[in-house]
Amino acid sequence: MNKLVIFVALVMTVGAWRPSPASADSQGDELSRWIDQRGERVWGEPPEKCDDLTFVRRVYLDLVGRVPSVSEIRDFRTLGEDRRDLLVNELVFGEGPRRETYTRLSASSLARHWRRVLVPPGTVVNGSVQGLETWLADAFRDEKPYDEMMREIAQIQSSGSAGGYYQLVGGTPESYAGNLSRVMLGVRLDCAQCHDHPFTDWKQGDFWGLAAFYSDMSPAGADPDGSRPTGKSGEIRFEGQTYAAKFLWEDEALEDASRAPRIRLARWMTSPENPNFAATAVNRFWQLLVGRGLYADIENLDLASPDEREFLDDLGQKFAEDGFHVQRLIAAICKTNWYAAQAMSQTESEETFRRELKVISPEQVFDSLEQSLHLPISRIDPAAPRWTGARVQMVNRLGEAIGETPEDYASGIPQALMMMNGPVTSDAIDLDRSRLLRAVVESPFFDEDKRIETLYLAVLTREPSEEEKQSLTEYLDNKPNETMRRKAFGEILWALLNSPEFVLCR
Amino acid sequence: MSMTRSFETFSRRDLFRIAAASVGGISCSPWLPRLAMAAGTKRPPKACILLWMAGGPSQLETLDPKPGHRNGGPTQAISTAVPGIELSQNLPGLATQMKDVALVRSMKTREGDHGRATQLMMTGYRPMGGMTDYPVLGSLISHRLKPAGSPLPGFVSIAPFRFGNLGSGFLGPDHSPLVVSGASNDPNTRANLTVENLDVAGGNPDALAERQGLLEMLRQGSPQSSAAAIKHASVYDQAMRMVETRGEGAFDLDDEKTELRDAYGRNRFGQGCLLARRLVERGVPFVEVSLDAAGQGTWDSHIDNFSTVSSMCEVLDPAWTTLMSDLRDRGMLDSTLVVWMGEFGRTPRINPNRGRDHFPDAWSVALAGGAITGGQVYGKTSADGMEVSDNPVSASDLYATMLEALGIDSGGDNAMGNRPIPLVDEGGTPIRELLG
Repeated sequence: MNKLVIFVALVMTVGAWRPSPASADSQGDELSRWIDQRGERVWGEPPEKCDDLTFVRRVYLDLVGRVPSVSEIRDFRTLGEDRRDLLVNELVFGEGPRRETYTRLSASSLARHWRRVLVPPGTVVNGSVQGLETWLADAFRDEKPYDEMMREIAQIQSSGSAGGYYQLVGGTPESYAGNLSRVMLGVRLDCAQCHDHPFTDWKQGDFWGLAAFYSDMSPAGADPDGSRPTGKSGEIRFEGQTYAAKFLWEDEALEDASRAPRIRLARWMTSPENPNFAATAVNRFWQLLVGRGLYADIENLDLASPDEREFLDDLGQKFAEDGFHVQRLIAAICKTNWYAAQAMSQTESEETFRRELKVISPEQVFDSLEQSLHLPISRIDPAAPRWTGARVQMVNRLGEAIGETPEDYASGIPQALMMMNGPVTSDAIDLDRSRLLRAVVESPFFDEDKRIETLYLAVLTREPSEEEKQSLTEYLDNKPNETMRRKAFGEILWALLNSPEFVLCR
Repeated sequence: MSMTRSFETFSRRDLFRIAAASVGGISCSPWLPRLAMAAGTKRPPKACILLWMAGGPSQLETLDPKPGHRNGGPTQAISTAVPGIELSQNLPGLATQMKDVALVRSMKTREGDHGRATQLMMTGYRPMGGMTDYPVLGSLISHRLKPAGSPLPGFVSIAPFRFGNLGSGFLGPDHSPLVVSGASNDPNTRANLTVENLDVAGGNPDALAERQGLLEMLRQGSPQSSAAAIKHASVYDQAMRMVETRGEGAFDLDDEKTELRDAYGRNRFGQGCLLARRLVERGVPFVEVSLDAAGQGTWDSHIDNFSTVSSMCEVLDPAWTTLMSDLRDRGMLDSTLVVWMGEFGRTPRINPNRGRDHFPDAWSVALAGGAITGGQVYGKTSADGMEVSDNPVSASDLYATMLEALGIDSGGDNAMGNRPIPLVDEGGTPIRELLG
């Protein structure tokens, strides 16, 4: 590819699109104001807002799954007064000239996240998760309401329904029941599979009552320690005991349980009578975007006190009243002062709010590198890492060590070594092979300061501080000759890619 | 100069001082305490190698055979180097090592689910719904025994396969395992157990010092109070030191004699055991080598237990046996505790698939080396194997014993913040009979 083309891509703004003001309440603005006020009741005055560039980095990573390009940053700066809200609308609702791209990216980014919720790291997976991810991406792209998606998962008629989720997590009623209560209700019932739960009130009858809804899903599993169907839908046998289908929190089994049990379960699951469904949903979206759930221990929501979950319940109710519209909820959260809070600064109330750094996902790491480094992306380009297996390799390696929440950096030495010395980094810092480096170092229009600034902007979405500029100038000045000096930009780029800021979104 | 001063105030001059100091100080004086010891100066440091049998091996086909009883199935017993102690026919090599091995045949736990049992046996604490994030055994030991200044991590986990996502818990990132995976488990291909990406990107090792300096400068841009940033720094510092020293050459298995490599077994587990010895030799205090499946076999022998366990033992026995003799030959056995265990045993009653199912009521583990007195059996199961008839041992008893065998006071505490957390769950008593 021609150097000049890349250079042009780096510095040009793409068109001068100006959005029209949004109509009244279709983009989560009212909900956003409600969250701001409701939050102040709990946490007091919100912390100071982060700067523009930080905000842009956050929303690009959160909503389209990669860092913004230099030209996207430029476009943002032309948006005027309401630029933050407008950017959120652009990325969430696809307003503006890049509609097709952003809609596609945000659907697949959400799908990846929810695939990890449904099939958490460490699960022994039965088959490929790709089908499930595609099913999720289609649902998000079609703006399918959240409750409808979950109903489809709950009322599956065969093990291939809903992206094959049933099969993926083990293909047994008990594994499905454990996952559904965890995913949709924020309740870990698994312990009650073999004995009554040590801390909470869950009994074996609660667990198996839920599993019973799926007893006729598959023939007896290979696991002789597992459950057995009784031949009747709506009941299940385990260790000599028969359990009838029962909703959680209900004392009595379902009446006439063999009549369409899963359809009734799906209806109950997503209904207002279920105390945890909407609350768990909004808690998950809040955690995805802000880093920590409104109740932090998302999958043990049953341990929360009424006080601790009041805000969550209120927000869940709003989400339900709005028809479980995922995009509006996301936009609303992104427009709040809480989302925009400067990282690590704390409210002064008794109940404190603090936004921690957020660890970006394996796919976000690769897709951000692809963006920052101007890696070729065309399927027909034999050097495009996306298609040569480099992406899979990187995602797998990083995927070996994923934290339980976005605040938890779980990478170990093998992951660090890959970022330090792996093939993508080796190419990136090599003047002959790196598109970004060549564009920056060889551009006749850039002076040295501008080169450093462009590298920072492309990789970290910020300008270097004065101290950093001085240090780096001195560092470059210490190089004995022009060749070494040019090579030193590779070292600077290496450090930017390996800095905590690259993987920990500020 | 310290490579781990993560978040001190940084002045830009440091960038060049770091670059100038280079990393040579470490590279030029290899950190090989055991090899130095071989030259005859001091006692070797204590270490532990855990042979982790994920899936739960059958005690009846390994350490506690019951020939002649219906529950024993076709498995025969063989005599060992210690008169009166018998092992299953599947472990002829280990039988020759019996003088140094202590068997515990009376494990009695209460977790029969892979995930929960793994958590119990890996941490010594019963899973209680996530109130405290307990560290695994490797992290506990790393925390106690990792030598200051070692370029290698304190805990290496080889080809890990476990049920559940366990780690260093509240002990934090400095004691997380370095995970080494083997690409292939095919006994016919050479096992390639190594850490990838040890070569400096760009090929010039001198660049490392400059990069370290630049990175240090950039760390100042990240909030210093962030737990994630602190962990990032810790992991990078460890990774940097691995690159500087190329892992002290521990991963260069080709340096070993062909005969020895063959004796360990040319498979992931066998070569993993050899790697474990090399790591311990270089000052790593805890190495875990996992074996969950090999060829057609798996420890989780619900179906065709007898053939499946016997094919597992074809991999296990040579590796374990050679590890014992290799450690002894190098004078490392008295300082290195070797533990063999899984998360539970198997049902003595044979199921209709000629399999055995999960069984935590009465099962076996083995201990050797360190302060363990070998050549003995502790505890006993009933004739049908269904229950412990003598000296039941809990997970916390076993933990107390393992720690004492490494010279660690099992009554001690760890600190989680300012809250003391006992090293061993309550009720854990070391088995004095096993400790010399």
